[in-house]
Amino acid sequence: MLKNRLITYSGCHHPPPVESAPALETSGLSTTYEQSRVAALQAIDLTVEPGQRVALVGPNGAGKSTLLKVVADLLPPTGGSIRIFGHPAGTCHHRVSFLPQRTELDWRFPVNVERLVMAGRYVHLGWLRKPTDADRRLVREKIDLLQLDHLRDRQIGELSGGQQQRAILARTLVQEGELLLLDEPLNAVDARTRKIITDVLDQLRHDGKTVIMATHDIGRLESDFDQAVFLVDGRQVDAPPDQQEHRHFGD
Amino acid sequence: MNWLLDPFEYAFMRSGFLAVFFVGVTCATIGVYVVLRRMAFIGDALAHTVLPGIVIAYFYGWNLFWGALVAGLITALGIGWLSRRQELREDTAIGVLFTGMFALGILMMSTVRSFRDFQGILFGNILGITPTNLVLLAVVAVFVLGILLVLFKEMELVSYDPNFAEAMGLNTETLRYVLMVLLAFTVVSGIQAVGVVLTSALLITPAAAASLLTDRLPKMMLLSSLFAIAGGIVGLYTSYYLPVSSGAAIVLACTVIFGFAYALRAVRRRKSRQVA
Repeated sequence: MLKNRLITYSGCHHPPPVESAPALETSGLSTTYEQSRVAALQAIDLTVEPGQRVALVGPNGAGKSTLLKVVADLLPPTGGSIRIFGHPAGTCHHRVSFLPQRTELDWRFPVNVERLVMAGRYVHLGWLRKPTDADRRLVREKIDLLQLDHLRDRQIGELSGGQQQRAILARTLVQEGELLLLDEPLNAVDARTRKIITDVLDQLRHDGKTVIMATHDIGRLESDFDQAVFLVDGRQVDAPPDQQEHRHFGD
Repeated sequence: MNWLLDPFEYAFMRSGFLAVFFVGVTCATIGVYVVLRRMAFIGDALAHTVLPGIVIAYFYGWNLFWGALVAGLITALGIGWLSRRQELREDTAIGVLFTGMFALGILMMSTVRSFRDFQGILFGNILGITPTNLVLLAVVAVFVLGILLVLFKEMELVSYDPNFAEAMGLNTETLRYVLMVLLAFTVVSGIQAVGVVLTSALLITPAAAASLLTDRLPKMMLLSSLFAIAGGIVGLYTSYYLPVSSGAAIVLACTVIFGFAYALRAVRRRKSRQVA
């Protein structure tokens, strides 16, 4: 395990994708948190083809974040199988870009926006190597894209919620992954941020990236996504979980 | 100006100044992580749990440094293990472990008749530092600072966003162990200067003062080191001219520096509010 980790973060050990494999394929995938007896995910069967955009929908605690964390190799599966571009989870860190929920960061830590975004390049740099000019250009480009250019030197703790969300999305983008795992990028953001992030998501689709996104916004599922996965208590269900939400979806 | 130079005529003062430099830089730099990652309690616990190790080394006539180091490393790994199991809350587990170990150390000490030998361990004896231990302090400083430098970008990221770090293939658990082991080394060197009881002050106070004045991590580490060295030097001069314990004088000097930093920040805030 330790050896595996050292190699996957080395910055040079990047296995090529398996020919014609789906971006993500799970079968009977289950997991349980260490401190809990209840399964957080049960028997998830999912196939996501490259270029697809998939919504994970469900109430809080339904397992949306948990599923993203298993795919991102933060949580080990306790049952079933998972393949990412044909490889086991944890072999393609450079190709899988993860956007954690905003609340999971320590925003009081002394680091500025540019340095935070640069962290998305670390997986390509690996141990001991410093960012190159090309890395820096890419970081600035994504900071501009998310309209944070005037805040580049700002401490992350001084940003508004929407700006923080854009900053960590910029970090996820500079990783240049093929599969993006976005945990509620549109949750509790201002209208301007929502517009900027929505535009970025459209651009990602245009670029042929695969996106799996946890969302509460059920109103635009059909127009914005190729596939919706509904989760309730860690299980996959066929229809949107809630009557209220059902009506929205029907519209 | 003679009062400034006089102390340098004595070899014990010269090695005292050198020791303060090595210990100050090491404690203050790693101390920034201790403060930012809210590990203050762990630092204090580590300093206290090494006591039985030191006493055992004393019994067998070994260099106390090694006794402290072995006990410190065992504690560091033990804390890491305990907090992983999560059967108890981490601070509770550490509290139980560290008071128990400290009590064991005191108990062992009380079986020895010459309690005075241990005064240096409890409260520090930087003026009595041996050339061997001075070299050990230098080695610890180079080792700890070297590893922190090599792992800088990883340690930084893991400290504010462990999930993202883990998703990129970094093992946050291993990096936490690395930090704990470095902390064990640091604490052992801090004990040489200010003793078991006060070592956590060297980890926390200069770093806390620096964190009030800057929000850049490298600058924070630099400022913190400067504060610790300044506190060490002031403390040494004080104990040279007044009959007071050098360890306590060093810690108090650091506390005064913290007070200045706190006041300076308050003034700055008021100014920036007026400008706004």
